[in-house]
Order: sequence, then structure tokens, then C-alpha cells
Amino acid sequence: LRGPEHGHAIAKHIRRTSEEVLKVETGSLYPALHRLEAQGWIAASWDLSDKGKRARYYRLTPSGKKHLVAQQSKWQAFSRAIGLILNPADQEG
Amino acid sequence: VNSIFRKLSWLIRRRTKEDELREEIQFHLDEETEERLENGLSPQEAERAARLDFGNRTLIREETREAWTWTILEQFIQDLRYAARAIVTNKTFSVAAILSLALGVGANTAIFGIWNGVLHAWLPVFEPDKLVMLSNPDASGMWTGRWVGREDGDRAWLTYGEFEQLRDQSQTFSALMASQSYLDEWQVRFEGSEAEQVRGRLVSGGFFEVLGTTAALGRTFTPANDRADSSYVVISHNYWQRRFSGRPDVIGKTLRLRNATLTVIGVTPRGFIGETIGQQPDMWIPLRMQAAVIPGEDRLRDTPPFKAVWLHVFGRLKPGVTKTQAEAEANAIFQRDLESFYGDRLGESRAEFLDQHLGIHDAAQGVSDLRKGISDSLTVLLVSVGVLIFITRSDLSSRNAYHSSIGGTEMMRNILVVLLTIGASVTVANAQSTCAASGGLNFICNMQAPEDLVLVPGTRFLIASGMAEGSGLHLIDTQAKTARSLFAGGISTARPDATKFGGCPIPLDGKQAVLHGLSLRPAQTGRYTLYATNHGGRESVEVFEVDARGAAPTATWIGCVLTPNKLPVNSVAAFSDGTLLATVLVFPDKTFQDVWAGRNTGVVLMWTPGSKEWRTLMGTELSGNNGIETSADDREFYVVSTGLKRVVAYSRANPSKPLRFAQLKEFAPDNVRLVGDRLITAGMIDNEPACGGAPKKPEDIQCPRGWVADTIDPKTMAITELARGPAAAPYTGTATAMPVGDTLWLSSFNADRVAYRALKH
Repeated sequence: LRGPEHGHAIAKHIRRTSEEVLKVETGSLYPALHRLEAQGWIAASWDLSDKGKRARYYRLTPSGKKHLVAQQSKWQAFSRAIGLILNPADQEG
Repeated sequence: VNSIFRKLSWLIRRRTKEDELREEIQFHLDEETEERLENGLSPQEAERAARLDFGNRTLIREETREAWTWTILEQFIQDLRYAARAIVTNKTFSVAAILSLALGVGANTAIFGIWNGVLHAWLPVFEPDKLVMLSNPDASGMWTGRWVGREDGDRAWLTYGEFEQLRDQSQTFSALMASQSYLDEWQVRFEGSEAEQVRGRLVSGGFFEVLGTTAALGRTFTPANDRADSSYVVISHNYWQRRFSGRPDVIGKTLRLRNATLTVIGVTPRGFIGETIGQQPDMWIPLRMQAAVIPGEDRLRDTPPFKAVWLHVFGRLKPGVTKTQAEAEANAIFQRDLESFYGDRLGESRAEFLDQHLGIHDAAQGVSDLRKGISDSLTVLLVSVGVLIFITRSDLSSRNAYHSSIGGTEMMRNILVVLLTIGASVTVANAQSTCAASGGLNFICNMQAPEDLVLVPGTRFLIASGMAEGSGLHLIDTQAKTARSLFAGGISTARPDATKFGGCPIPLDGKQAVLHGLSLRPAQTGRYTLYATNHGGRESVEVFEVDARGAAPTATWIGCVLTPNKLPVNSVAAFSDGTLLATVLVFPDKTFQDVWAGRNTGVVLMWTPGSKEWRTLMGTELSGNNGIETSADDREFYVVSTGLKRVVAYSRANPSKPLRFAQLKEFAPDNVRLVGDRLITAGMIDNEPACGGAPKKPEDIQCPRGWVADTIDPKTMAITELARGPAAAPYTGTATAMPVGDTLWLSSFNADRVAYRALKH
């Protein structure tokens, strides 16, 4: 997913790239998007979709990018820790 | 700020946002439906599947709206409207609700007081608002090792070497000091005693100077203690009382602390805690002793590439220097030091190591370790108080059956209301109980009975006497509107001059002193002789040398002249040859009733340097001889008669009868002082209705009365009113009026404060 996208495309992207694992209620995406917007991590603007309809497009702000990087490394540390607990042999090898 | 604007703009565009959200969700559903149509579903099936997949739209919209945070404020406003309606419709319920809430709020105001005190208290030091710090204790950081990159903010702590560079090279600070950033626990053993645990800090020699503190007993460290071995310790007043029951022989005692043997050289004044609010060190030791006190480490020298970053650095800016200027200079020195320290050792990461910065921060609140630590737990306490009150409220409101469900946001709102209410009531309570302005006057408090005021010429400082046991002398900064003790007794503040004051038996005991009238006369350049009448421990005129050459005047006791027959003398004035005049207000065989009746009750006494006796100046008998002043040419003197409400002029050569007098009307003049070419006298209004008219019994003069200050031309005795004001309890007892610039300062013989206001009203 590159550049500004509308909610529906984001939902589809998540569904597809997570190999359909993350497919919960699509609707819950919107409160999340608006919360991110309130934090200033993403910004939204209205634009025409490729089918010519008005759609709300979201893009990452610079501070959002920074936050993402920080959260990503936290998540990686966390998932590695979980990995170590579940599969100690794998990691030691 | 950005996010506030973002939220505000949302609030304004609320209607549009609702529409936009609906449109956004509709777009999503349309896209989904379309996709399903392409997969071969019927339009109805496609739409239904899209909706199912999307979830509960109303709920999602609600959740999204909550992300717009201002919901809370809106609900709060709705709540206020609801409350207003409810109070009107159900009065009994409202009274019960308000009473129980008031009770809860009242009971917990104290907690807010602590919270407020911890978070907002100023350091109990001289002119805390002028104090700055170069360390940055609110940043998190390592206390040893290195500090990399400005992205982490200003440097948190400094090394001893960095402090030394700043101390020696800076031109923008009048003084700098360093202190150990954490309170240490030590085991010490006084000679001949058991080992005991104490808490203390290593500090630089300028520590006490920068905080504006002199010893209550003995002496404190000086900057010289940074340069020579200094096996000394200064103990706190609290520890002195607790451990040594306030015995003065504590000075000179030695104690053993790890590898150091230290001698007690001083005790700090009561209430002095140093630079960190919430910590009460028992003792302070020169940083120079670090190797002996913290053995096995050298924290005074940095060995590249490691720096021992462990010190707070505080300072005071030179007059006229801004924080920006000082910060620029400090960073220039700091950068030079960093570059020479790291040299070319660092290779690629060099730039990173040099990218460090010092910030200059206001330090009126001192170090905030405690604030950091305790503010969370106090906040929790406050919130739990809020929860308690919330329970009261929700109980009431559920009984009232208006509200059927109470959610998390309502709890937040309740806590908010409670906090606002507590905050408001504390502000009001503080304003009432403390030093807040009243009757058109502002105050500086916590000085017992500052009866008289003299201005130190060429400075912004007033000296106030303290006519209550142990009140001593006070130094008032008329610009900063702050005061501190100038003399409270102690060995370091006495330097007896036996030649001039051979008849004075022992130095004045600051704890006993009751200092009354003042007279300040020039001595050598930048120095003055201060005379003060005293009733504590002995009846005398006490003499001090005031040194005004430094940033702030200091006072050293140099002698006394005892009065004849232990007669209390009220006011004193000196001629330029050191001859003293002092007034006796009421001889022991007379009373205040005699004063108010206008009968003679007192006299003027004269003492000449070198003589053993005072001489009574016959002809100066007046009704209530009170304030006294000498003329600029030494040829005349002026005596206040409180009973006759007069200022009477006498010839020094022949005082046998008055030359002339000024007749005042409404008020009983108290002290008189020559300011420029005019005499200024002040006192309380006689016929004060609130006090039942003119005083009849001695205790009547304790009643808060209005005040008047007049100027008198000593040549013609023509009177001009300078200022007047109504009774301004708890201020009362106006005795001296002293204009400084465009501000008028008023003393008090019985309140705990001096008053000031604009000269022109």
C-alpha cells in the first residue's frame, strides 16, 4: 500500500496481505482511522476515486511515520520474545 | 497547540463531520456491494453481505465520534445544563446533594494543598525566582557515562569538570554552584558516639552563597572550599535540634564518614533544605571530599571517553543578563570543553558526541525529583477522592432517577468537576489565609513585627527591624518584593569592635534580640553603620556594619551601647561623628494614659563615642518621645511627640527648648526619617470608628486602624500629605513610611508583615 488510500482499499489491503487472517468486522477500521487522525498520525482529504466517486483518502503524516517506526521495533522485539518463549530450540540453534 | 486547534476546528465543523462520516461509510458499503455484484451475487444479496461484513453501523459511528474527543467537553456542558434544570426542579434533593459534596470537597481540600504544594512550591531560599539551573532534572538520563545526541533534549546533569569550566569562565553568572543530584545515605560516627545513619549531599563551595543562605550558627562553605582540602560539614537546623538539642557546642565536633574525618563548622537556618523540594538533608559536605566520602571512584576528574555526569548546577544571573545570553555563553564554554575532552578520539561518532546542549531553566521550584516521584501517587490519591465524591453523586443521581446508567465518561466528568471545584476552593482559601493584598496594600509576610525601615543608599534594599524575640533584621528586595533574614545571630555574624564599643559586654544573641528603631549612617565606601534599639536580653542600642558592596547587603554585629538604668529606648539617630540620640517614650513612672492626655512622659538621651554614660537632654521632655532623626548638617534634630501629634525641631548646640514644630492632626506619628530634604513621618489614625475611636488603653493600639504618611519641610515645618489608606487587617501598626522609587513601604510594630503599594494612588 503506497500513497493515499481510502478506507475500503485499506481494509482490502489488510485482508489480502494478512492472507485473510485479519478479517474481522471491516467497520471497526473507521474508528481506528479516526483515532489515528485525532492523534495526528494520519491526515485525510476528500478526493475522487478511480471510479469517479468522492472518497476520503488517508495518508501517513511525518509524525505518523516516526511513530510507526517506533511501534514497529517494539512489536518486533515483542514478537521475537514470544517466539523465544514458544520455540526456544529454534532460536538458540 | 496544533492538536488543540485540530480538535477545535472539529467541534466547529461538527455537523459536516457527521455528514462526512456517513458519506465515508456509504462509500465503503457501495464499493463492497459492487465487488460482490461482480462475483455474481444479486443486488440485494450483495448489499446485505456488505452490511453484515461491515458490522453495526450505528455503533461504529458512535465509536468514531468518540475519537473526536471533544465529546467529553460537550457532555460536560450538557451536564451543567442538566444540573441547572435539576436544581430548579428538585430543591430538597439539590440541597442534600450540594451539602454532601461540599463536605467531601472540604475534607479533601487538604490533600489538594499537599499536591499543590509539592507541584508548585517555591524553594525556601532567597529570591528563588532569580535562581536558574543549568542541569535539566526533568529529563531522564544516565548519571554516569556519556550522553549522546541533542534529540534527547538538554543535558540532564553535568560533570565536575564542566561545572569548573563554567564557574571559572562564565561572565554572565554572578555565582554558580554544583550539588550531588541525589540525596546520599551515609553512616557517620561522631567522636564518642554510636554510628548513625544520616542523609546528605556533596556540594560545591558556592552552594550556600548561590541559594542566599548564611549560617544560623558558625559559618557555611565558601568558593575557596572547592580549591583546598576542606574536611568540613555543615549540618541542617533540623538535624542540629534533633541530634544535638540545639546546643551551640556542636561547632567544632568531628565525625567520621568512610575515609573522611570532618569538622562541623556551621548550622543552616531553620527551614533551609537546599535545592530539592521534599528532601531534607541532615548535612552538606564539600564536593572536594568526594574521594573520601565515595571511595574507589574519582568523580571530580573525567577520563576520556567517560564522563561522570552526576551534578546539578545552579546559578544566579548577573543583573541585566538575560537567560538567552547566559545560555549562549554557557554553551560556548561547554562546547569548547567537549571538543578538548573528546579530541579526535571518537572518529565517526564525534559529531554525535559534540551535539550536546545545556539549557538554562528557571529554578524557583528547585529540583523536582520529588515532584516526579510523588506527583503520580498524589494524583492517584486525588483521583480516588474524586471517585469517592463521584459515588456520593452517582448515588444521589440514581435516586433521583434522571440518570439510569453511569458510564466511564461520566466518571471522568465527575472527577473533572471535583478537581475544578477543589482547585477553585483552594485558590480562594489560600487568598484568604495568606499574604494576599488587602485594603489597597500588598504584603511581604513572615517577618515578626518589622517596626522600622531604612533604605540602604544606592541599592534596592530596605532593612527592616524585628521587634519580636529572635526576629532579627530583615533584608527586603524592593524590586523582587521578597525578604530574607539579614541578621539572626550566630558566631560568623559578630565582629566586636572593642575600641568603639568597649562598654558592650557580649555579642548580641540573635535568638533573644528584639530590635526596634533603626538608624543607618555611611561609614567607609559602600559600608554603613546600622544602629538598632534593642529590648531582648538587654536594653541597648546594637550596632552593625552593613556591607553593601556585594550583590546584596550583609550585616555584621560590631557592638552595643547599654542604656542607663536598663531604660528601654524607642528610637535612635546618629550624628555623623557617631554621637547617638535615643528617645525614651514613657518613663517607668508614667503610663500611656499620660501620653494620650498630652502630658510629658519621655525625653531624649545622648551618648558620645568613648563615653560610658548617656546624658539626658533637659528641655526635650515631650508627650511620648517616639521617632527621632538628625539633620543633614548635624545642627538640628527632630523628635516625634506621639501624644501631642507633633514633630519637634531642636538645636543640637542648645536643646533646652524647641525651635519649632509641625502639628499633625488625624494620626499619631510614630517614626520620622529624613528622605532627601524632607522628613517623612507616619502613623495610625487616632479616631478609627472600627476601633471605638481614639485609643484609651494600651491594647487599643493593637486594633487595625487606617494610616497616614506625611512629609514635612524641616526648615518651615510645612506639612504635605504623602499617602493614606484604610485599615487593612491583618496588617496594622503602621510606624514608618519609606518611599522607594514609585513604591511606598510601610512598617508595622505588631503584624507579621511589611506593606507596600504605589506611592501615587
